Amino acid sequence: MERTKRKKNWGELAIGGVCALLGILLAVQLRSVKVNTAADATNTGRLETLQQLYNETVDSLETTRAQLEQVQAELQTYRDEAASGSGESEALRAEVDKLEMEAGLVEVVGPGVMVSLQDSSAANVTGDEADYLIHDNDLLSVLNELRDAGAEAISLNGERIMATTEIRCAGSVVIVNGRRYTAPFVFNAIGDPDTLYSALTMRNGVVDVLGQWKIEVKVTPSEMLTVPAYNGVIDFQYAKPSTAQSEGTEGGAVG
Amino acid sequence: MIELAGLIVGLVIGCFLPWHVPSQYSLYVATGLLAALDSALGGMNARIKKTFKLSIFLSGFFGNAIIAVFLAWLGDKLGLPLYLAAVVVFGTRMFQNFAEIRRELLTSRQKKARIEQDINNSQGSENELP
Repeated sequence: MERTKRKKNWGELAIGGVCALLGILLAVQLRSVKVNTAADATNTGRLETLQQLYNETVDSLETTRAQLEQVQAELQTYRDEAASGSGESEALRAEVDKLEMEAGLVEVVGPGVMVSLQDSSAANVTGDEADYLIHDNDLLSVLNELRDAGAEAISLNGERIMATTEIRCAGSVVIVNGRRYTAPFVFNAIGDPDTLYSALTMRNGVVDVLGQWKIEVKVTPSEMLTVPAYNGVIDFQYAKPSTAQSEGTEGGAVG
Repeated sequence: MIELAGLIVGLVIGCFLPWHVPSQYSLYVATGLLAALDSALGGMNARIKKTFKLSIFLSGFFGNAIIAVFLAWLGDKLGLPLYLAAVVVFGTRMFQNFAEIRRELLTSRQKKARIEQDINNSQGSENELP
């Protein structure tokens, strides 16, 4: 009789213990779930903050750009004033103008070709959407062909192509001079229109190859094209003229 | 009663424990918890029915929890939500156990009442006999 009673006590104790264990686990899990959900909420909050920061940065970028324009206008007046003096500074000014044109800091006009590229309209048979989109490679091969054919000034979607300009895919957009562009892409190239046209449209040339993917490339020769100036800041942080280094000049050259 | 007391004690202790479950193990713990909860209900059911055996209860409690966690882990490895099997099975069994407990408690009182009534009736008839 006593033995069965003791057994029963053990059973009750075990049940109590097990239930306590259950309770501990339950409480810990409940708290963890709460903490984890809170962490998710923090992430969402962070996203919003970042979005706000981004918007603010874009705003300040606009302001800075306006300031830049103003400063450039001032610079222009100084140049004019300096050049109105002697014949020597006249020559200097001509030199500066020429260099600015070469560097892409002034708007230029002249005859040339306009190349517009549009994403492929062909039915997707390979199953890979990327095959039918324009990539940085396509744009770069067009650009290379234009340069090879002697184009003197080139712009892509209104962005002047300079010595340091990048053309790079970033997801579904292409970054040119740090700004994002999507198809259609339009090159304006100033040079001999006939040479440029033939260089692009020759057999097995760039247009021919892109045409096989049904990417619409239109090359239009024109007597009068405008290539805009580069409207950003050129900031050389590392490169310095090798002669200037011995003189101990410092600071980035700002064009 | 002792189940409830144990649960409350456990909850209180759990609330003051310093550590908590990392989010990637949350699913495993939850699945194991469900299995353990079912076993606890099953034990309560057995105790009420007076068929309780400690070894069966303990092996069920820990075994079911381990198998449930293992299923969840295996499902993770296979890319198949196998823990759903544990959720469905233990969820259903919890309802069954609860139903049995409920029925047992309610009918046992009825039975007791009827027995008492019978006793009263028989005593009453004895008294009336002479």
